[in-house]
Amino acid sequence: MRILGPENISICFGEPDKNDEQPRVSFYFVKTRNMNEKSLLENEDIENAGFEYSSDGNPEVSIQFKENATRRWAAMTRKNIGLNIGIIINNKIIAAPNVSAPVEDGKTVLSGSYTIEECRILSTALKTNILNTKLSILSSSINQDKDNYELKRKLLTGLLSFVIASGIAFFVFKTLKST
Amino acid sequence: MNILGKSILIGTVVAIGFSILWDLRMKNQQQKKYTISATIKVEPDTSNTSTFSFSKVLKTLEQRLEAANYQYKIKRQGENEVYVAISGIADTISPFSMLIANDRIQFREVYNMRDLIPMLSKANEIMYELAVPEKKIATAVERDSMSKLVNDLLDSIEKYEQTPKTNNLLIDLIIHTGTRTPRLPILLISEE
Repeated sequence: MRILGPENISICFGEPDKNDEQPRVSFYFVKTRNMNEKSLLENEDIENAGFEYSSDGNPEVSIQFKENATRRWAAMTRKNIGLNIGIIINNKIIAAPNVSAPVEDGKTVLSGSYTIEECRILSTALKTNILNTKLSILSSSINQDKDNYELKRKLLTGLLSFVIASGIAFFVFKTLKST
Repeated sequence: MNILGKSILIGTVVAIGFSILWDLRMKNQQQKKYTISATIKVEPDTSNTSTFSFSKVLKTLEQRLEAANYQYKIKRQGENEVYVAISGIADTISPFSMLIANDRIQFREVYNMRDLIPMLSKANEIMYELAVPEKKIATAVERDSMSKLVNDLLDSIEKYEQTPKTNNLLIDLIIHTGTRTPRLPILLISEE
């Protein structure tokens, strides 16, 4: 089967909707020949990333682009008014918002069905450089911290309560004896 | 027991009571804190063409730990390993995920469905032919029977117009239809 299409086209899949009873995967036709090709904006264009809450209480990842990337982002959004721009993370499309107005200030919010922890990991990874390496954990250990400050507070409370209670008892007994 | 002894005894009992209450209160209030450590293996990604630099990896890991505001120790261990220890944390899983995360973000233009109509129509046509050949035959049969019906209707109109008419429309219709289906006369009456 042979179908003729545009020269630069790739299929990019999305995440299945977690709320859907029968999870179905959406897919988009992206304007690139190869998803490994560098896109107009990538990790190194990000000045800062963090997470915040949307008006309906869902966590979102907020991105601030660097100055030169802000100009490129503004040009890209200007060119695509009324059209969609795909936001892709690890070759999976997470959102394809319709551009209603150009984004001139370089602020962008990634909203998806993320948990707070996922938002935190993603925003931390985005604000640092992407690693062109494979990292794997060989061994790990977890130990509970001994809280010395907590122990000191506990001892001080015990000592204070002992002194106060003994003092009051001594005063009461002494008063009772004298009467 | 003298007054001093009694007072000390009461003080001790109260102090023990306070300690127990303190423990109970803290158990409910405070989250346990942990120290986690890991040895991370660093391997160059062969699919990536950019040059591999161990110090760059170390620096990126440090940046990540700083960004997350952790108390940490990090050092190179051996040829291609990194030792990381993070203390004072309640969540023991996500720091590792964050450290080894390699999330690549891209912003790309996507095609509008309108741009792809010729391609998708062609694909649809091919899929239709592959998937439902029987449906195609059935449609052809349906088209045949419909055209036969239309031809019958036209014939019937022609014959009705050629039939000599009386002054009574009802008699005309009875003469015309005979034993045939009354579809045409009913149609003609409704039109008149």
